[in-house]
Amino acid sequence: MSEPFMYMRKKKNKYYTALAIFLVFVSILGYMLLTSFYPKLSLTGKIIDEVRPNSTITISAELGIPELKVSGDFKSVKLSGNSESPLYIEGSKFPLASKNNFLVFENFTGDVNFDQNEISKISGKALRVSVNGVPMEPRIKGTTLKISVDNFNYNDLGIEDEVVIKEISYSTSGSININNGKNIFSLDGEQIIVEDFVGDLKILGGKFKLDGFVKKLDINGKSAITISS
Amino acid sequence: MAEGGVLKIRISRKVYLPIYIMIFILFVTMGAIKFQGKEISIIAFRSVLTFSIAGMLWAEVHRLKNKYEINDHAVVHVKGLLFKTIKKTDIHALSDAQLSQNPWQTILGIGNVSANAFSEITSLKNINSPHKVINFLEEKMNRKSGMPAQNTKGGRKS
Repeated sequence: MSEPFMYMRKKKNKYYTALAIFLVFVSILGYMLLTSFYPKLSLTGKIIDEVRPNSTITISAELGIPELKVSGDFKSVKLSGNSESPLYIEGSKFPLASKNNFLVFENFTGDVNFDQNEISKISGKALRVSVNGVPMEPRIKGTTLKISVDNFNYNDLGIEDEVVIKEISYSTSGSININNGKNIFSLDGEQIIVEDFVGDLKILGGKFKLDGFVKKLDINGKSAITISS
Repeated sequence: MAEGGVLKIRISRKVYLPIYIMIFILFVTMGAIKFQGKEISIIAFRSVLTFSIAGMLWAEVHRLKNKYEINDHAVVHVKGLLFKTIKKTDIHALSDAQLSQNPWQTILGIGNVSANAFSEITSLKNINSPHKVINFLEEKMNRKSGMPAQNTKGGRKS
């Protein structure tokens, strides 16, 4: 191969390398700015949206409380209970009165872990926080407040719009209403598997209430029932 | 730089200034986002870290891949890190030396020095203090040919 040709090829390769590095830099910078200033554009949101169209079976259930971890973007998370566990907002500690605390996190993004005894962890960010009716907002409008609560003894919990649960599998008692009363199942210590739930979740009076859509429901007890879309 | 009549040179780090500027911009942007109270997604944060580490490593490896040496007998270009190619051009065979700088190199104080031996050219690319290097090379060439040392700035033609 002639030397001028080699030189030209080397120069071209050098140009393409520089261009590739610059494009990677611009992509990272753009992605960082977009995801920070427009969090709704995140990839996670897109994946969660895709679950919904497949989950077409309407479900309304009142069951025992499972041990569950939910995470995502929710319109609101409301909880009440008697707990002395402190609430942390932007790293600052807010001691809670031991009786009748009512907390509301609006436009919450994060994780909620609970079982039948306590909410073991709430961690995430919210646009607005209300503690016993006192609202708190970030100083800069449009930004979020970083919040966390650990080991909260709760009475009620409500997560609205929209909880996505990939799968719950546990043994429970209660009732499940499918497709607005077309099928009603009463459970008595039976094993259930709920797949791809999308909807609202509430814990009221020691009952775990689901209201939304599922893709598949399995009941294994006295009789084996499978409903899928 | 010089060790008893031997000059060992590597590519200047100033060449990689655009990479360092890009890394700096990414970190400043991250700081500005944090200052505004916004959250940085974990993917973006990891991408910035990966880009920065990979960029620094690539620049350093690229720099270490080229080593130049001017001694009493030859101009040596060692190319490669694990697989090395060593090119030696005898000082006797050198006809002239040439210094070239583009505007960017002039601003940064770096340049390319070419040692020409007929059709064979050994280029010392993007080196610091190119004027000092060309003077050093000329001194070696003159000493070999028995001529008194000259102090030229732009280069020498025999």
